[in-house]
Parts: sequence; C-alpha cells; structure tokens
Amino acid sequence: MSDFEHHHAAHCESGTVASLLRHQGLNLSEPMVFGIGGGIFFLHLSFVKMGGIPLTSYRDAPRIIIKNMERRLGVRWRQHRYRSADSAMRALDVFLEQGQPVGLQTGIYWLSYFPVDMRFHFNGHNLVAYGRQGEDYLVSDPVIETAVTCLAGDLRRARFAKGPFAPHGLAYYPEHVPADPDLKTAARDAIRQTAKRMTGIPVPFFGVRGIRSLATKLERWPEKLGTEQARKWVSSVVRMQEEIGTGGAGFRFMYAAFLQEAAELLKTPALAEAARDLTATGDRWRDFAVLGAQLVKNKRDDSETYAKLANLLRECADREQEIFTRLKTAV
Amino acid sequence: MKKADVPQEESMLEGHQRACYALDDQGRYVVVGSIGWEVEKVVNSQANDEVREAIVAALARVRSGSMSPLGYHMARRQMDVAMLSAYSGISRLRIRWHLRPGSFMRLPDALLQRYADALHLSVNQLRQVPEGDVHERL
Repeated sequence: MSDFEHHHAAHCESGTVASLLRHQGLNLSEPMVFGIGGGIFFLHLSFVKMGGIPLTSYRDAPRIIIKNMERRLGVRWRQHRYRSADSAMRALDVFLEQGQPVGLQTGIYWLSYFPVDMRFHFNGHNLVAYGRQGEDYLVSDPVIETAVTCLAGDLRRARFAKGPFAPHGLAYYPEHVPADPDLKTAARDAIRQTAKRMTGIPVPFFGVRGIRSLATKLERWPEKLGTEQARKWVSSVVRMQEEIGTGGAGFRFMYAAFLQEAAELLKTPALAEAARDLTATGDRWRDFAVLGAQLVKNKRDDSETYAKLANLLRECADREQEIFTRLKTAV
Repeated sequence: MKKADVPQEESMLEGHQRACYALDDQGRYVVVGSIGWEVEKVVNSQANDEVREAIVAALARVRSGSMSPLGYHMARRQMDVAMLSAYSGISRLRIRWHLRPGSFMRLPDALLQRYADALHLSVNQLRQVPEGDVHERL
C-alpha cells in the first residue's frame, strides 16, 4: 500500500503507534500518543545487567504504549507471534497484499539501513511495514526521517532476533480504532497514573526514588568499580538518555510537549506550567549528559566530577518529584 | 530546550537526522531535526570502541592459538556465549567447548552450519579468520 504516510518521530514505539492510528483515521501527535500511553518513567536496576552494565531506563516497559492505547482509547489490536521466520514472513506478505500496514517488533542490529555505528543488539525496536518492492519491503521506520526500503533478509533476521526481548516475529495492527475517543478522560487518567508511578512506588528503583538511588550509587562507582568501568557505566546512562532516540533529555521534552497539548485540551493552565517546569528539568538532564560525556571523553576520574553528576541527578529528582506531585491533583 | 539550541554537530548519524522536541519562538513544542550532538557521539564512540577492543583481543587470541575462530566471529557480531546460544540453540557449555581450537577443528559440518547460520556467515568464513588486521564490526 503506497498511501501510507511516513512521519519522523523521536521514539520508535510512540511513532509506530501514532502512524498506525493515523492510517486508520485517528490523528494524534506523537507526544499525545506517548503521554496517553504513559511512556515516561525512570528506573535503575543495579541487579539486572545487560552486557555487564546495570539497566537504566527513562521510559516504561516496552509495549506499554500499545497496551495503554487499548485501555484508555479503546483501540483494539490484533497481535501475532510466530513459530518460524518462514511463517512470520508469509503472514506479513498476506497482510501487505490486503493493504494492511503492520507494526513489527525487530532487533535493530540486523537492520542495515541504520548507520553501522548505531547497530547494537536491542530487540525492542518498532517499525511499520507497509508494502513491498520486488523482494524487499517498504518500511516506515519512525526514527528515520524518510520511508526506507528494507532488505527481505534483514527484516527476516530482525523479526527473529534472539536474546532479551526476543520479538518472535511480533506483528500488530489496530483492528478497531474509535472515530472519536474520549481524549480528555484518557489524558487525565494517564497523567494521574504517570504521576503516581513517578512518585509513589515505595522501592528505591523506580521513579524519583530510582533517580536518587542512581545518584548515590554513581558517586561510589569509581572506588567500587575502578575508573575505567565507572566511565563505561556513566556512558551507558547517558546513552539511554540521549542516544537511543528519546526526543531529548530522556523523553522529558516529549512529555512536556504532551503536557502542553493536554493543557489546551483540558483547559488547565496548571498543565502548561508543569510543561514549562519539566522543560527546565529536561535542560538540567541535558547538563547531566554534557558533563557525563566530558567525563567519558577526557577520561577525567576525579571524584569531584562524579559528585557533580550525582548532584545534578538529585536536582532532577527533586524537580520531578515536585512536578509530578502537583500533577496528581492538577487534573 | 529552544529550537535554536538543538545541536547540529558532526556525529555517527551519517547524514541522517534525529527528531528532537524543542520550543519555538512562541514557546510551543515543535519537532526539530538534529544531525547530531557531540554528547551522543562521545557515548556512542565509547560503546563502539569497546566492541572494537573485543574484536582486536579475540583476533590476537585466535592467532596465538588459544581460541578458535568462532570467538573472533562472535566478537564481530557483538555476541557473547549466551546470545550465540539463543541464536543457535546450542548450549552454552558446548559453545565454550567449541571456543577451544582443537574441538572446533573437529566439528562436523552440520554443527558448523548451525553456527554459520546463527552468525549469518558462510561455513567457509566461519572456519578461518581473515588475513591481515580486520577489526571492523559486522
């Protein structure tokens, strides 16, 4: 189907969902999908390691946005997983022949249309396949600025990437999209839940508590791990915040854009104010990334830099605690 | 972040653009394309340097006869034993065994083929390491 409209997005899941919904006539911006999808979060799990590095995430679990579209907007999804790559690719061809664009979960390592330096084993990458060109596939990858052609072999391997978050060929599309969903209720519900999750989970791994515990741990990394390993870990936190495609500041700017839109939708000036404050917090997150990158690049390992980084994190945690506490009662 | 502050610096994006959210002159959020940011480049290079160091080390071990070529090809594909096990269906213990040059030499073709498929290489490529210092990732 060639009438599929490609839009450049900051994040793969919100971008994929926004463009699949738009194709079915529900026109929502990426920040709106991200916000109603409850995408923003923070977690730092020192006991879950990927490649020896503790897991840090500025967003909620993969596929949470897809699930929340169902819960809050009444979008009904069809989702398929497959036993083999053969059956997964055959089924995809049938969808495309019927003119049905589908969202696919893929392993980014195998997608050769990405610059080689950005290809790491990460299996939670979402994209839309919307047609074929000879043997190959027409793909709208939200984080690439234009639609691309994806080699059939690449797509096949990417859909059956193995390891953590293995996609098992997952293909999905909205079977039913309400023409006029209740966006106001959805946005209110989403903001409340996100605010609770950011401030209210009583363990030191999630939300603002997670940010604070990362600050405490990060300060001790150089003595605990040695300077080289500590640098690697700082680098990985900055990557999760900026390099993987977050729209800037670990999704904070995109969430602020959502709050701005929600302020108009709900006629609630307090949300516009929260958007401004979250933007300012995002700027502090960017300062954290700049200092972290300096530490990585200049191989500076003075404890002073680590203390400064930790203090920036604490400042972000304080600001976010204040913003999300206000948001609990603002809507 | 204001629109004018969106970084436009040399990066690993190879001419691609990244979508950033930033404020326009009226204080409204808009999407702005960024060709890259020094910060992203630094942390991305750090990750890629690590991959490269692993390849260099693996090649040296293969050349010195302390590891089979399998280890070199795994490093080029950024795979550790656990990941190769997930891709190939061969147990971690057996993969560790096959990382020894002697046992790798004696592998039957069928097993070599499974490794080759998992690493997306031909059996011939898998059996050896390239001449010269090939340290590029795949």
